[in-house]
Amino acid sequence: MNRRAVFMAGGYMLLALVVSCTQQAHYRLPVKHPPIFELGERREFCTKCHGYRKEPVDFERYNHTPLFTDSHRMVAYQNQNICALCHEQSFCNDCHASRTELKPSEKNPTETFRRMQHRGDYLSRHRIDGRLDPSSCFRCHGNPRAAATCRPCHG
Amino acid sequence: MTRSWWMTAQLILFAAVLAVPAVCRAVDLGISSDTIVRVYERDDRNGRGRSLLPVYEFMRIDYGSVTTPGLSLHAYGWGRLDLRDSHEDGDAEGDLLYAYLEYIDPDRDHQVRIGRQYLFEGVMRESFDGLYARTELVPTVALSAFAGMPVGAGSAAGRSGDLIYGARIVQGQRGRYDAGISYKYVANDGSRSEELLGADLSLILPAGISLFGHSTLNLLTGGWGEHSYEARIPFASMEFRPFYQRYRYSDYLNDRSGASRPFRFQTALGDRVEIAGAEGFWYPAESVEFGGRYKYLTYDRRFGNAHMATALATVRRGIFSEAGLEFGRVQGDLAENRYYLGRGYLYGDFTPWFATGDVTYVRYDRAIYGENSALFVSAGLGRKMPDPALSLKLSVDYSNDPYFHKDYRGTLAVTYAFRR
Repeated sequence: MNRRAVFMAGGYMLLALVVSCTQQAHYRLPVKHPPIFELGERREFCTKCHGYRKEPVDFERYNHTPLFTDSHRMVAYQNQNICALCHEQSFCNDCHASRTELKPSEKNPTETFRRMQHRGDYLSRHRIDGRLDPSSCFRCHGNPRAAATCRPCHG
Repeated sequence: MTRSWWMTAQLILFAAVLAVPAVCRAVDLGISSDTIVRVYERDDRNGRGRSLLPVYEFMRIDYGSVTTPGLSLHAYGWGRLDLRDSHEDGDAEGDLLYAYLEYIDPDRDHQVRIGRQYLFEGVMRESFDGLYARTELVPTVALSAFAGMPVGAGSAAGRSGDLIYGARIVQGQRGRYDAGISYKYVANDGSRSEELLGADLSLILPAGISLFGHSTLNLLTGGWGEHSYEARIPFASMEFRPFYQRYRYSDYLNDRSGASRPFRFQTALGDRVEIAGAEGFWYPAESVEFGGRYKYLTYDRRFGNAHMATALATVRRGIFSEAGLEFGRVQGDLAENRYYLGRGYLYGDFTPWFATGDVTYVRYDRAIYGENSALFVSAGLGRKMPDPALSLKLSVDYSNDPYFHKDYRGTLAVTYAFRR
């Protein structure tokens, strides 16, 4: 199983290089997006300026909808470079860090529009959410360092 | 944080400060500081009351070619000082979250980072000390690779024998598709702790419809840990996003050293969950949003089915002001897995002042520690001073819930941003 999977991955890489002989014009992302507002001051919709064109970037995909906080992970896994146009790693570290003591909503209590994870009384709610879908907990609290948050109660 | 890491970090910082101006056309300097003072009361593990007054400092430094190609330095960390009763023994008093040198070539085809950094790419979502490199081999193929020591595994039994490496290759056609393969290997204390192979896909179809997703194969167990796929279907001022996710806990959750007990328990249980549902959005005007999400969860063994639903509406005014209402319901098959949630929030911009409010009420179908509900109320006031770029924020929070009875907390934050 493992050997077959690695073999298939290697085959895909080879195929990717062959397919890429049909090159298209090279587009390069800028290093940074020109600043509009101080980052984090509002939720932005990329399509307001860029429209719904799918080239050179599928801008609609990065619209910060009211539920973007809950569902942005697939965007980040596939195109971290787009996120980095506007966000420094420190912005992501509000929630995604190997070890911070403050919940995101405690570090930024006045940024109510960011719909941060664990706001309010999450200690009670996490018993239920964690039972029903532990995968979302594991993504942040799965590594040994971040699990320090869980250990005082759970061991 | 170990002394050796501190010395390494200081050497990197010192070398960078010397090297950056020599190789940069334009040198930018950015310093961001968040000083946060909190006041609240807690009982320690022995039931002794503590009156806590911690001061936190979060500081970020960006130096070099920050907005243009070239060499740059980025560092971010936090520290805590207890002005009254101290935190529990063993609690960290600070951490260096990242400190890395980055080089982007003038054509922006190649990128290299060295130092402590975070990576969210393919199957990689971890902090590590090491090297990351990304290159566009040809215009339609990008290859990235990383190697170093995982930060997370270091708390299990020191950093000896810890190792992480991996790679991702992406092939795509702009405006049509991107397809990637990624691999990650993690060793903790000399033994193989994690080995994942992932595939991810972005596909743009006619009529503006998009399909995204990824799958993860656990090479240690030989099973698929995750399949997550979603479509985005725009229609006039609306958008519909159906999704499907499937997790097998024994292949997705890591039960090796350092994982906390709930994850080890779930792994041993060998359950599988399938999550199907959709998000939907409607934008009747530029300043009005309606959104909703519904999830239907089914399990192999432990539970029956579960439903999670949320609906929300937001109204914006001017550039920054926003108000929102949210209503949610979580309904497992057992009463202990059910609750209603209502939330209202406000961010009012009255330049240079701003005021905020947040109310969250949760009603549990089955009491937790004798409490059927939780109420959280937060009120905030702030002032922005553009020159210097300084913000003052004061927040007072009240919570009455199963864990904290009539709990008051206060937070004063001073944010300072320097750019040159």
